[in-house]
Amino acid sequence: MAKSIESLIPLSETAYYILLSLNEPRHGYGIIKYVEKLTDNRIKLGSGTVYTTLGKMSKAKVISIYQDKDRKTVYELTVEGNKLLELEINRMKIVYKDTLYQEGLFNDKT
Amino acid sequence: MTKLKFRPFWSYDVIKTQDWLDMQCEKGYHFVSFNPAFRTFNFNKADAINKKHVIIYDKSNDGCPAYVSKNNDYNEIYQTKNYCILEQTKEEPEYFSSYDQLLSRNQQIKFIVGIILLIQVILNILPLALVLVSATTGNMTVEYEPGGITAPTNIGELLEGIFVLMFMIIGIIVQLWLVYTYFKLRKSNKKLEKISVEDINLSFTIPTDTIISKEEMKQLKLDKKLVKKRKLGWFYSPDIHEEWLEEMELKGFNLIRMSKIGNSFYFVKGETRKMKYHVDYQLRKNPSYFKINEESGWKLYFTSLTRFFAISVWGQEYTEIKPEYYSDPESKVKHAKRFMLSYIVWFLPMSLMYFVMSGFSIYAYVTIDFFRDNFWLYLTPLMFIIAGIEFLYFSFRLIRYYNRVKENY
Repeated sequence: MAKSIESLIPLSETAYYILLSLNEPRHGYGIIKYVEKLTDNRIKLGSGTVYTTLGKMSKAKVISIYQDKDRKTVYELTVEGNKLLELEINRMKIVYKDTLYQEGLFNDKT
Repeated sequence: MTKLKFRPFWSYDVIKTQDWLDMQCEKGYHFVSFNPAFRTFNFNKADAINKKHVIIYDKSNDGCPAYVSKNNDYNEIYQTKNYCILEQTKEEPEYFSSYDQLLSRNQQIKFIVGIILLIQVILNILPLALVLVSATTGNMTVEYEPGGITAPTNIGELLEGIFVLMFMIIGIIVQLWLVYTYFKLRKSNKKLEKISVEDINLSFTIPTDTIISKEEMKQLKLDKKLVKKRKLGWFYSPDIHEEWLEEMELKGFNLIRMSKIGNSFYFVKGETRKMKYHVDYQLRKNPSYFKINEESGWKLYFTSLTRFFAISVWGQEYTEIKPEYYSDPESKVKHAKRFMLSYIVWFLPMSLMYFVMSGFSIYAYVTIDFFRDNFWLYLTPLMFIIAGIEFLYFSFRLIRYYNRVKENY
């Protein structure tokens, strides 16, 4: 039985960025490169991390695996995966809002 | 008009079955549905046309994968719980199905059947060989009592005979089926790997690009440039040996290859290199495993023969920042945990079994005269104890490895 998507929340930073990079079907190394670009070299994903995370995600039905024209394996978010990402993005927005609010309070003190 | 066709081993070679469906279509039999339990395919008689069929095995999705309806490259014909049969409508579709899941399913079956066959070989052929050897050396005489086969005298004996015969026939059929399954899957898995572009050239367990010719090896030995280091059971403390390899590189000993069973390392005296080595353990290696690592700059030195419970040795040269195979601490620790657990679940019971066996055999020597009179049989409990200690020691090393990784991250 696949786990429900709620049990995957909260995602680790790595898993979150991997899902975030899948706005279009990408292959494994493409994910690594894209996350590097997106985070301005802050996150350099190790290939082992990506491989095991993608394996876990596909087991949880969050991503589907198929091949492109060159028969290279690509990964894409499923409907479930999109739902999960949406939930996480909303959670992140709340975290961000709370952070800004608290930061303001901390700054007022000084 | 419909037609029913029986294809018992259709899933052993899905590519061939796809072609077979295409061929039926050319003959005018259009595939409509199939029954996986009975292995039967239903066809409708219609005009003979060319049609390309695709069979997808997808365990994780209920129904066909989402990309099927994308771009209208495929038409769904029939689907069951795990399988989905499509018609490819475009000559060159944007996307293809991945055979990853099918491949790993077939590899799993092959792995299990292979183990059953191996156990059978050990259980049946080894004692037979022992008997043959002792019969030919003359230490043992095989006594044969000529009784002959007698005709059954009553119904009971007749039934018993039929029963035994049936058992034997079923046994032979099962045996043949196992052997057929193993070799058929081996062939079709290779085909699937080729389609999945697993362009990794392996000679047994080591990549072919690390192999150097015998002449070259001899020359290196003559020049005193080749260093061979043998390490027994090194993968029970992988982190220590990763560091050892990295230190060797810093001293100017470059790893060029490993031996086929993975217990020896060959170094060539050369330049100092900054290298990062990683000994990876995977429950399952998919074709994409090698792809993603190689594209990320890792070079493969060794990988287990099996696709399950597999150990691989990867190395990458770097200049400034040390590359990480597992970039986050969480997956690093999880990897070490998997590594340790999957071995000690075997090793600890094995160790216990050997200790129990040694206890039994000591007990046998004390009580049975026959054993006491044969001196060489005294070695048996000793061997059991040594084997028990060995497995205990390996488990201990793996647990230590896991603890080290856990403490460092």
